[in-house]
Amino acid sequence: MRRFGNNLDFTTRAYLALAGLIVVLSLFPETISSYSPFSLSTRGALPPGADHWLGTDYLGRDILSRTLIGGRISVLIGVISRIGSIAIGLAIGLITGLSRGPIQRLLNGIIEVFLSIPSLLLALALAMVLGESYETIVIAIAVGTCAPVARFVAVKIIVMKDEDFIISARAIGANPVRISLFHLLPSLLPLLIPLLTTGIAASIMMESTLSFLGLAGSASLNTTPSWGLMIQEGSKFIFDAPWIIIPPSVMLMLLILCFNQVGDRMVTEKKG
Amino acid sequence: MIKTLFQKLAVLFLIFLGAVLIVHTLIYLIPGDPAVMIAGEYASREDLQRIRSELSLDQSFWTRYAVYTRNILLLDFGNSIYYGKPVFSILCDRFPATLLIALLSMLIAGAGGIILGISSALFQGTWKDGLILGISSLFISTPVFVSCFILALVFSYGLGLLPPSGKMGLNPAYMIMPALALASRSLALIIRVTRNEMIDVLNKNYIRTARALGFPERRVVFLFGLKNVIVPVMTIILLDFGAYLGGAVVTETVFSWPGIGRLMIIALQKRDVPLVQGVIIFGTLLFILVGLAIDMLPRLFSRGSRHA
Repeated sequence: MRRFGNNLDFTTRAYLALAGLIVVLSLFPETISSYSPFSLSTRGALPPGADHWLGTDYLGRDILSRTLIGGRISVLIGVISRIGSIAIGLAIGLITGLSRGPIQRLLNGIIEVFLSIPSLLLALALAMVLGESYETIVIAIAVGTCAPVARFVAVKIIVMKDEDFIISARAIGANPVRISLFHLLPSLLPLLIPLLTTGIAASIMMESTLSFLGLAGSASLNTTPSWGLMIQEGSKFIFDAPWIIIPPSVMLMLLILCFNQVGDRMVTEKKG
Repeated sequence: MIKTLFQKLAVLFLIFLGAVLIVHTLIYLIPGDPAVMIAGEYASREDLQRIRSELSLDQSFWTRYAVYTRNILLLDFGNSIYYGKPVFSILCDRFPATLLIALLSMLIAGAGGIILGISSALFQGTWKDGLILGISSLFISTPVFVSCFILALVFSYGLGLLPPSGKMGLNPAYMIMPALALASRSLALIIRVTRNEMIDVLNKNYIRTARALGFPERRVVFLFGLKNVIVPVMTIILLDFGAYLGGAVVTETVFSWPGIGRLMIIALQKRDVPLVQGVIIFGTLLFILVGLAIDMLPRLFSRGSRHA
């Protein structure tokens, strides 16, 4: 069995390493910055200087340490919500693919309905039901983006169902649960990995957008900021203190770029 | 063709009813009594009772769904709590602004994306190709609100060329930044799709034949090549267009553009339930209609499949 990562080229590894660096720095921000991301100061919104390398925000908090720590939320929500979305999509897709007749048509219809509602609007409506918090964002992204996964899985299952290895499994009397767990899932999982990597980029982008629109709630002074939230707070002072929103914006673009590139390269490798 | 159109419309109608059901369920689950939200904390019990029976809030879930669905089919989306006007008339007031910005940005993304995509395909493997692809990767990875702020910082704060936000009639100065911000990600996607499709097509045998027959290169690329990439590219353009019609929420919020997307945020902040419901259903309807257009697209562009 080939180890994961053996077949990746240099550029892909570089992007992976950069993403890893951002994650490590978000876990240990004190390695670079000596300020706490939460300590306030009466002299707010200092421009970048020798003391605070990237300046401070309007409450006098150090932007460098806040930007570093902000990666935690973005990566965590991006990964969890994407895994959740794939898990929900996989379950619905499996059931849809294995069912037949009117039930399959009904389930397919439900997937179509979810595909027809713009996912941002759906997420915003969910937020109204669940209240504003990071948990809401995870649920909103997972539910809002599971429909394409479900359709992808359902189509694959319908094709796979008639292949020899499934027919033989059924012939020796394996029940549907056994067939899906031990025969269908192992063949499906490799197909889901590219969905995961490109999906994480999309999830991180959606997380930042939802945080920016205020779905994370207004952060209390001690909550770990996400980049979207930092940009939202800083956007009120964009023309007076543009240095507040630039670092989180740059980090957001970099991280999404990394995941996008890794995902793209894995997809093209599969084809080639 | 007419028959398939009607069949598709019937299916889409069912999907629309399903979408209304989902939105209705979500709204039903919102904590809090809608009657209290409308009348205020200090309303008398009789007033609350009157509002409940007027909005059939005292009915069962399915009766409410049936009533609401019938009303939307009659274009009655209820009254907005915050504005005190019918939701449908607010949507009609605001839709032209959204349509304007969506059209403008699709024009920018479509024209720019096709031109850059074709050049990228023709310069395949050179530094020009690399540059265009690099820029498109960067654009794809930039969230819309970040593009908005970059544009605002450069054109409004740095150069002082454009007003930072708002809308004044049809004054184009106010439209440039929202349209560009909205177009940025579509532009990048269209570049990629156009490039990949074009490279595929240009390697086909009939293109080689056309070149061998001595057709000028320009004619080969723009007539024979472009004709065959137009359907996938139009699909991307329309897909984004459909999403933007439902409200370019972020762009309109940042630039205070008075369209459907900003309306959605106002409705959420004021907890204006009928308005939220109306905006989502309106956006879904437009999205479904654009999906129908995408389905019909190949039939319009290729004569061959007409008999299929």
